[in-house]
Parts: sequence; C-alpha cells; structure tokens
Amino acid sequence: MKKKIVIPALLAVSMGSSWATGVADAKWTHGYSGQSAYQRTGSCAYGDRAGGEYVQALHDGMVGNNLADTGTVYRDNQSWSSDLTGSFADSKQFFAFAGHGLDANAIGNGKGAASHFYTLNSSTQFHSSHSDDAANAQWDEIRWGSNGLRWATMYQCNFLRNLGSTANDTKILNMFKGMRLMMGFASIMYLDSREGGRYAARIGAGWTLKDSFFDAAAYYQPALKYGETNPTGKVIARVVGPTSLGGDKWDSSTGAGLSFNGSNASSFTTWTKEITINP
Amino acid sequence: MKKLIISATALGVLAFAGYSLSVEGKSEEKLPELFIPGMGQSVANDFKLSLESMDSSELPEKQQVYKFKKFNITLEDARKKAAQFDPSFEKAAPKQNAQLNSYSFENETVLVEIEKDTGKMYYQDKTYPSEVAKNIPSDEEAVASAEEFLEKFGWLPETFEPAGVTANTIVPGDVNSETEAGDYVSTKTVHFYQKIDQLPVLGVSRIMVEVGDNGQIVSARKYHKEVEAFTSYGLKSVREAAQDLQTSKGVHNISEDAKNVVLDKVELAYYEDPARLDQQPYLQPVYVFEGTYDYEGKKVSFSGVVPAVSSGSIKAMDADVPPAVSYKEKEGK
Repeated sequence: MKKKIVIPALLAVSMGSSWATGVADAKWTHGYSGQSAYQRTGSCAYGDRAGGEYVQALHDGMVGNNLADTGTVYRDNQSWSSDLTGSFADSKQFFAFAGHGLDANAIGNGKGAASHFYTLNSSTQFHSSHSDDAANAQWDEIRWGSNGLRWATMYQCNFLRNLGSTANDTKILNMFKGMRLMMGFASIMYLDSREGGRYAARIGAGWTLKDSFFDAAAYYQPALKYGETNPTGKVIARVVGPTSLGGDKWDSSTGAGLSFNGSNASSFTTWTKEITINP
Repeated sequence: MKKLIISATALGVLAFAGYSLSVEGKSEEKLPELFIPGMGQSVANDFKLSLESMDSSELPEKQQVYKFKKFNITLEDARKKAAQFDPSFEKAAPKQNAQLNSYSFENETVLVEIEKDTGKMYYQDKTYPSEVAKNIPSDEEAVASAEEFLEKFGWLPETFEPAGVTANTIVPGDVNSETEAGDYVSTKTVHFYQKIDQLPVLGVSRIMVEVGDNGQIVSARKYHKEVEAFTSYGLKSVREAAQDLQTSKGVHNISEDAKNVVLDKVELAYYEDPARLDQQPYLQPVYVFEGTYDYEGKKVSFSGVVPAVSSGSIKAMDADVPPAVSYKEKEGK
C-alpha cells in the first residue's frame, strides 16, 4: 500500500526562521531513522507506512523551531536496525524512529518489542522473514544514554506496551542508561507524518517534550470505529523516564538521566494518556 | 451600433454560459483524496473477501459532502475568545505561531490557543499539578464537569455527545504500568464525538476535556473543524469499496494470516482529516465494514474504513516531495 503524502519538507526549509515564533534556542544534536517503503521496496507484507516522512517532518520542525541545526535523517534503504542498536542513535541527544512496530510477543525470541525494518543493515539486502534478527531492533538490544542520547521518540506501535508483564516493564527500563525520556505508544497507532511537525512546534513553543508528544497525538491520531478485538483501534500514548525529568523541555539539562540498575525502578515513572476511543 | 449589439449579446451569452458552468461546476468539482493513515502494526495485506452475507441494500447512491468553515479569526476576535477564560487577555498581545497558524494567550495560570483558520481551540489550567489525584471523580461526575465547562464557553455543539471516559495515569516504575495503573490516576479524559446526519464522524472530529481532582478542568481540546453543507456526491459501489479494503486503500484491523474473511455489514460514516483547510477542505463520507475471519482456530471480528466518494470525483494527492535533506552515506558501518 502506498500512502501518498505531501511532505512539507521543502516548504519547511524555505520558511526557515519564520517558524521560529516560539521560545526555543536549543542546539541539540539529532538523528532519525524511518522507513516507509516496506512493501514497494522491501516486499515486506506489513505494507508501506509514512515512517520516513514522519522523521523528515520532525527533523524539519526541529530545525525550523530553533531546536537543532541540520541533522542526519536515514530513510528507507538507509534506515537500519543498527541505527538503534549500534552507535548512531546514542551519539545524538534527540533521536526518533518511525515505522512498523512489533509487540513484545510478536517475534517470540524473548528479546521484547521491536522496531521493524525491511533492510538487513544494508541498503541493498532486504529481509526474507519478519523475524530476521537484523530486521528488528528489540528492547534487549537497545541501551541508550551512556554516549549521549537524552530523548528518544518511537513513532511506531507497541514499543512501550508491557502486555501486562512486569518483566516487560523491566526490559523497558533496561534501555535507560542515561537517556532522560522515551516517548512512544502502548497500543496500535497510525503513522501520519504531519504529527512530527506539530510535535516539534510544541517543543519549540516551550512545552515539555512529554506534553508535546501527547498533544501531537491528540491532534492527529484518528479514532476509528473498531470493535473490541485486538487491536481495538484505541491509541494509547506513553512516556517513560526518571520521575524527576518528566518536565523536560528545550532548555533542560542535556546531562545524563538516571541509569536503571535493576533496583531503582521506583525512581522512574510511566505517564500514560489514552488518546482515542472507539466512537 | 450593430457591432455593439452583437458584442453585447455575445458577452451576455458567454457570461450566462460561464455562470451555468460555475453552478454546474459545483457538483463536478473533484474532491481531494481523503487520507486515512495506516496502522504501525502488521495487518493482513493480501486476503480474499466474501461479500455474500452482507446486506448493503439500504445504502444511498449519493451522500452529502460538507465543507469545513474558514474563520479568518482576527486578533480582536481572538482576544474576546481568550478573555472568556481570563479577562486580562482582552488587551493581551498573544504569541502568534506561524507553523500552527494560531494565537497563543498565556500567563502564569492559563493558556488559551486559537487557530486562525479553523477556530480550533486549546485551554489549559497551568496550576494543576502533575501528580496522582487524591479525589478523582467518577466517570459520570467527570462527564458532568466536562459538559458544564463546554457549555459555559460555548464549545459543545448539539451534534456532539460524550462517547467515553478514559483514565490518564502516572505509574511508579516499580509498579506494573498496565495491570495496576488504575491505582495511579492523575486525570480523566472525557471524549466527545459527533454525529452528522445521524452518521458518526470518525478521524479527529473530537473534543477532549481532561478532568482532575475534585472535578477541576485541567485542559480542553476543541480539535474538530466546523462544517457547512456543500453538495452531494455519488458513492462508489460497495463491491468497489470492498476491493479497496483488500488493496489497502483504507484501513482495517484484520490480522496477518487471517482465513475466510467475511464481510457482514457495511454502514456509512464521515471522516475528518486533521489536514489544513487548503489541503482537505471537505468532510467526506466513508464506508465502515464489519465482518469476521478465522485466525488460529477462532472466529475474530474486524472493522475496516474506506473512503466512499466515487473514484471519478476524487483527485489524487500530489506525488511525494523529495526530502529536503539528502541522505548521508553510512560509511564505516
């Protein structure tokens, strides 16, 4: 499925500082990895989504709102699982992934929820199976913060969903090695690239990252008339991080947050908002 | 003189023809393709459908399309609206956000934001603490508080009704964030959705009111656009819409590896896209399918949503614009 979307990338750059009507004057380092061409390029049966367009819109918004200078955006064939599991994401202060997401039980290897890629850490080799190791960046493979990542946004389904398991909550916290906040969803969600622009605009206007993420979801995530089957269609947005950092915004410290060590879980918090219901 | 009469007659004929074309043109105007975003989770992408048990005899051949109102809210208008929440905003100089196309009035206690074109509004009580509530209202009490607030400020059109209440939670990291979240409610959100012509409006046509301790209104989002009647458009056949569902031109929640997918029911609804008015000026009808499929030995129900206006009345979206930022080569990886 190809969802054609008009991406305001060129427009965004051309507008440049005219966006800068907010308050931000941060210069974070930032990086992005997003996939759209799952099916049309990677023959992935999950279908094309607007992941690449979302990270581009978010990047452009971050630049346009004086939150960062031009950063690195890996899209489609250049977007690899090693962007998350290797050094790329952790070398930036602000990172986002957008694309398909698999819940903690989907792959069945015990390594948790995954960001899914059609690439196999290569711009020319694509997966033959959804469960190919190199096609998924999973909880147990992600450790962020020891080298610089402070705020991560996972614009995909299910990355912050524990499926009722406390062990999965621990796996989520295990990713915190200095990262301050992780934004994501505890449910299905819908990929709309425009949401990235609003998220950046809110951060640029001085909102907390947490509330910026929630507000962008409230503005763009659609309510659909689904039944009570799984997935139900309800969209649940979630932010996880050290309790004291829930108010992080553009001028917050870029110092390391709390590192999870297995015994300090009570110093972390999970903030959750149900964005849509079945009308 | 004769030439003048002939010229005037010709002009009159041309003017009448132009007028006729413009009137006729209203019903011929092609609508922008309705964008419904795809789910970030795997769903069936290749499946066969059975329509034999579905009754679509009561569906109309045409359906009203609505146009979103454009308000062009001035600074003075915005000040009056904002002053409803804090009188000091009557003479305030709001921030104007070019990207969000909005006025933003803010002081130490209140934030009010108004979109210039659509009239969408956001309200926030900035004094409310981000913590677990001590006396969170029941769902019924939350609805009552929300309705009282919306009616006070004229935010509750007759077409809207409360559609559900959900809990927002702040859960400590040593507590299960899902199974025990009910003990850590910070606020409740009352969700309002609307019906137009008795049909539900899906998408983002909503009002969300966040209610906190003792019924305090924490925030309110009037994130729907207002509409006015436009004209009727012919609808695609149900069979064509079902094919669209199969080829993922809409959205559904049919699992991968689904077998024996059967459509049982189809209804009409409307779908509001959050696009800017110049990108999607219309509220368009959609088909909502319901059915069942076999999955791992169980019968599972599903739903699907497909744009309903006849394909011949739709203009395709523009092609993707190339990214402005070139990819950096992944050297050394």
